[in-house]
Amino acid sequence: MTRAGRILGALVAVVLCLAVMPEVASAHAYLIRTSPTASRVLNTPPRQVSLTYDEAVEPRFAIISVTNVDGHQETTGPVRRSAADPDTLVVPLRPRLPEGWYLIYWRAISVDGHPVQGAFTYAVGPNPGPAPKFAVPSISAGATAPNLLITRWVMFLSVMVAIGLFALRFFVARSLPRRVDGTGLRALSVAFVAASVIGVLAIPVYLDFAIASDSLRSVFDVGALVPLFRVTAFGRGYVDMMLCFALFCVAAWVALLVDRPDRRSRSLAEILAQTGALLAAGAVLVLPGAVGHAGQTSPRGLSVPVDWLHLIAGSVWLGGLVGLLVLWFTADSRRRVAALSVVVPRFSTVALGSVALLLTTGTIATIDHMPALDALWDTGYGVAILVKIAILLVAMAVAAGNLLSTRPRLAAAGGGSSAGDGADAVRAASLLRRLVAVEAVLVAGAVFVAALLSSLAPPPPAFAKQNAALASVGPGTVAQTIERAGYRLQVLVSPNKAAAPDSFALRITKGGQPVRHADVTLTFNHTEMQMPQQQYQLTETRPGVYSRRAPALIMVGKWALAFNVSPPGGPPFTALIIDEANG
Amino acid sequence: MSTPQIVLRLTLAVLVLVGGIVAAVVAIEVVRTVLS
Repeated sequence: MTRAGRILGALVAVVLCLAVMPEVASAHAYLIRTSPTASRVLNTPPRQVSLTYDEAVEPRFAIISVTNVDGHQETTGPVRRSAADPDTLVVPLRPRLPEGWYLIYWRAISVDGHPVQGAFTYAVGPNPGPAPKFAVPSISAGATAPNLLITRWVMFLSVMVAIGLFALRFFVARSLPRRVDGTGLRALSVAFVAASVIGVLAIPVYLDFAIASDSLRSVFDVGALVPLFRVTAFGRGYVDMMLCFALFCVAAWVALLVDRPDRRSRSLAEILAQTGALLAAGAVLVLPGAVGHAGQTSPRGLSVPVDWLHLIAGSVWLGGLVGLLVLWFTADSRRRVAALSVVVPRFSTVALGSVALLLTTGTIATIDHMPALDALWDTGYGVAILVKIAILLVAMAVAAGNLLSTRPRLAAAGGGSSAGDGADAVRAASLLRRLVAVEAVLVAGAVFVAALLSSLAPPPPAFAKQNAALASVGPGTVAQTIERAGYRLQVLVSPNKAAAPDSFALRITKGGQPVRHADVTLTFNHTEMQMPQQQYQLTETRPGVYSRRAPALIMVGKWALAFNVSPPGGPPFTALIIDEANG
Repeated sequence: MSTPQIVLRLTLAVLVLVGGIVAAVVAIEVVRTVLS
């Protein structure tokens, strides 16, 4: 198969893999049980609020706010972990809360470092009155705050460029001084040292910003932040990454010190130092995935190695491109073409392998993270993946230009005269610089999207419910008629506003006649945020009309409303609609 | 190259190899914890 054919084959494989996306869910901290239960009217005021998650979340990073309708805070102490259950957080409440409705807003940090939040209401009775409209607090400082995103990007960029430059310097370009007189590897070595120093500084800076954001402290409050570095698995992972990257840098600097590129074969000292650096580089690149989304996505035995290979491939490609630019700009203009004719053909082969690996692992990771195919264009996480794929496809098109046009011309120049600087080769080298610069900028852009992607929460499993929905309605008042199991169902939601008491009704008819005495329950699941499922029994208020007023749409966004209907004398059925509520 | 130079280079190389092995062990431990 030709190279173009292989590239085409890889692209077809991506499209095919995306088309057969299975329903696989990923895990963040999910709230699985609450006390008091959402929207419940209690006859005696509770003494505390307890929230149980599917994993042990850290109380020092958690917020549980309990407010009355006037916004007055009703908690009397800090959030702490339950002595009986490590997955449960509790917060004490003011004793003898008066009758009325209360809003519980919570925010917690998942094991992978992402903030998750939600809200629900409960009432103290017996006569709390109608549910009021609450102002739901919103803490905008999430994992995607610009300062956090930029520090994350700089960190990934410097670490990946450093590791990629190391690979280029030692395994692609090492023979350059032997093959072309008057050339050297000094510029590549200096660029590598610069990138590694930036990386060594960027990791703790990012960690400081991330922990400051999670614990709602200032980034300059270093004395308070450092003890929190190792509290979450996310923090521990990045401290370990910092250690491993420091070991990589020391090993790579020693490898530079003992390297003698004028000799064809490597000495024992060179082999040992380079092996140490490679081991440490491998360790550095496995850690972000292990403590990030990959480590939280089932099957972990697949997703962690896939993420590792993805980062290795990205590093080799990006660092190599930066290295080629460094070579172009620092090489003596008389020897530039000769130097590039040695390095470019060798790097092209490596880059082609990297791109193929990047495509394969990226596709597997996408399949692994998406609960459904349409999550790709219906969620921010999915859209970020599409943007990243688009940027990388453009970068690959530019890379194909290099592969098919400049590489053969430079290779021919290298194989021809010893000077190797014919007019065509000079033009090819000039074109190469422009293409490589564009490619490097595009790949750096893709790393930025990856930094954004790894900061966003993947769509929750409830997202997959959207595909089973009979209709999508809202925002605004809903009057939608659907057919299900031979019944005609009219769904009525008014005014369909979040954090307000809404009226939900279902009119059931069959053959034009109202269906009476059916058992109808309605369940609510937010498709974009992690919240407990709510369930209400609807009562027949008119013949064939089952309704209920409830403050169930706690947050704005898309809700999966499942009407579970058991008609008399007929088999039960479920009708699912997606309702979008606005504020 | 003199013998002391060779010894120094080898010592440095062995030290950083040990560093690399430490890094690999740290990563393996983290991954093992995640997978368990």
